[in-house]
Amino acid sequence: MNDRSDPILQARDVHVHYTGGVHALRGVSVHVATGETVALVGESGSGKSTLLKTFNRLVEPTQGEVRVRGEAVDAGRPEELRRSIGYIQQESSLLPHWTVGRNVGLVPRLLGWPRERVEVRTQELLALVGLEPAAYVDRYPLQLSGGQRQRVAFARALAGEAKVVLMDEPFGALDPLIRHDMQREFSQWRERLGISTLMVTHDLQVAARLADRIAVMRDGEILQVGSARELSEAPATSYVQDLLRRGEVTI
Amino acid sequence: MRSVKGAVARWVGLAFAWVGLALVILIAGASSARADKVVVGSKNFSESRLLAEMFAQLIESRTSLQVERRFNLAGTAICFGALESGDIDLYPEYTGTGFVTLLNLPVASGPDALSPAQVLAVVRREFRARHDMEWLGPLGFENAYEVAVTRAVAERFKLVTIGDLANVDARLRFAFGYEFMEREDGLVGLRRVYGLQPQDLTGMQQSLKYQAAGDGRIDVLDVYTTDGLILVHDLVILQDDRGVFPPYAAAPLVRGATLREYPELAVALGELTSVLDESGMRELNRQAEVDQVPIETVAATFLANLSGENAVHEIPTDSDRDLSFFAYLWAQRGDLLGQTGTHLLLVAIALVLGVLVALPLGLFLHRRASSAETVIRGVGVLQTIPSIALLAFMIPALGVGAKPAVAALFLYSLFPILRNTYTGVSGADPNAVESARALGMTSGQVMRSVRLPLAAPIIMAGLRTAAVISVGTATLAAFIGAGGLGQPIVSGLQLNDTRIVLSGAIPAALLALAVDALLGGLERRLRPKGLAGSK
Repeated sequence: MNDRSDPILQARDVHVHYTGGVHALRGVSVHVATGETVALVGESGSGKSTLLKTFNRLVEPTQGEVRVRGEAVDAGRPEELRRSIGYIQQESSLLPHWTVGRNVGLVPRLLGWPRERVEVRTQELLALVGLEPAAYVDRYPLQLSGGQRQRVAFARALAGEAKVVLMDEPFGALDPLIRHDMQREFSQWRERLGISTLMVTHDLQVAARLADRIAVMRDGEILQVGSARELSEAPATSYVQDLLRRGEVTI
Repeated sequence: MRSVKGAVARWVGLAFAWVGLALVILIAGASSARADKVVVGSKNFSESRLLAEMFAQLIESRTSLQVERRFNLAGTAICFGALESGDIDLYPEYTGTGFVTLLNLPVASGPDALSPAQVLAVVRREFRARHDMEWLGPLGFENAYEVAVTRAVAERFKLVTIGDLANVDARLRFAFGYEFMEREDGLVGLRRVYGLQPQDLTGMQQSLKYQAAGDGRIDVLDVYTTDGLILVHDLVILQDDRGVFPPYAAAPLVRGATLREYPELAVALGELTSVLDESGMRELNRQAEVDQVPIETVAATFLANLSGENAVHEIPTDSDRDLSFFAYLWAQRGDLLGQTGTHLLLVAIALVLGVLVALPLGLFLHRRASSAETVIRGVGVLQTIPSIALLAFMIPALGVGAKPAVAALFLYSLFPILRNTYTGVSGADPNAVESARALGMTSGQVMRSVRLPLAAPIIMAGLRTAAVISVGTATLAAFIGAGGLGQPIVSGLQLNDTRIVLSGAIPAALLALAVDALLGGLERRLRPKGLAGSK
């Protein structure tokens, strides 16, 4: 699985300075191989969301190199890059004034697909995430439960046939029962569509369950990268050891 | 993206509809102007309107010219400004005002004081040279500023001259007109020459001052020689023994250009030379102010007597003033409807222009976040300029009438629309905006498809604020001759007749509510589906 010769996402020695002097990333390197799921784990302020956002250029690195599918992210227009990468946030990020169908069809429409193809794809994706298309396609986000909204957000992130998805605490706002179901289902969707994933979470359990490898971050640096087993057998620092004992990062 | 285009198209369509309407109105207004027509103006007090009405009727009966009446312009500066810019062709003015206020010449007192004929000669010469304006023959009476006190006060303090008044000024309550307080031949001169130092001084409308003196709430006030109300309220006029007030002979002041084009004006208005003395004018003023005979009737009757004919206008046997408020409203319905229409038009044009400027500016500032607050605060400063001052500032550039009024209302509409557009667009749900960007919308698409629709309710709220402010402020437009529902309010204030004031104020208030409700309905239609509060 670790095909290091052709990582789908790759960051090398990335620094991010925000204006105002905050040094959010201090020379971070990480990669996601094709088909792999990598979790970024750390406290809030550790830089994990910042690192995630350098891959779709919501954040521009001050220094270092970021590549997607082997190509530097700043080689082309950011919009085109972003349309090829799925993105899921913690909070409901659906456009509230658009129906479910329109939200899901967003990226395909941006890609200029013919309308019929957009419609077919929208129905497929709604079915995939467990929402009966006929019943949901014309509803508005406010008419859905939190879990249903997050399902629509998954459908929207995947509708444009993106092969790689960035997820920022995708299960964080869900109540515990739904969270567990969604994680299990997400594993299935991931297999079905063959996507690679970079995921931010503060929950080590989630990371252990879903990710092939876990990168532990603190103060803008990566302390250790490895599978859950590697981390627990040979923690690189006492912070990582502590983290494994607690199972969850304090926020 | 079909319904995105739909939403944008709705906004754009709406904007174009308004602009189209505004253009049609402007063009219609422009084409109806200037066809052998003279515009007669007046200041905003009864005598000025009465004289102006006489001029107008005389011109209508003696020449083939059409006359447009632009009465009630607020004060000397605005009236003279209108004459200078050609918005009006003539108005009744007083030689002393021309001498002191308009020419800024010093008044010599005592033995050096100028006679009325000398003052007339000076203003004729100077106005011709400096302004290309002509003073026609004075009507014969003098209407000077005077200082008056109530009879009780005059007897208690034994007041005969203004000098006597200066000795007891700390113990008396003064009420002066706003213009009087600023004039050299007014309080400024009284301070300088007599050392008058009023401690308890209130600025007050002319008609209200008399009422206040009659009720014993004030002791000292400025009056005009020919005011009919001096008799009614039993006031004592103090002698100006040191000559602060120059002679004030009333005469038509006419643009030179108008007179060259229509020389028949001089002939027609010449009939009024030396036909009215002080007591005659005071009687006409009393009819208008105290008996509330319409000025058209007073003027017509006077002109008829002058030429020995029967009055053109019959004096109504039972005057309007006995009607109840609602009967009065009903009797005035034609005028009120027209004034409501004018009012709405002023507001509508100003708001359309306001939206066309403030909405794009708000969107632009969103991209210039660093300078946005500065710009918006700058526009906000406009809001702090008092309405009547802003209206007056407009006159040198735009003259009197609808143009300066629309310009002022436009400036007032900018801030609420701009502030709400900027806030609404910048504050649009950050999660929705981030996801739209992250999934590949361009910044233009984010603006059109996400920020603008999400901000629509806030922008509409700003528009509603602007509309309500405009409907209210537009009542002041009457002061600069723009008409509207302010007209009855201004007239009513001058006649001290609450009924007339209310006949303008109540429709204006209802209009504000109606406009707000209408825009509220529009807001619900424009509010994107799916947002909280939409149907």
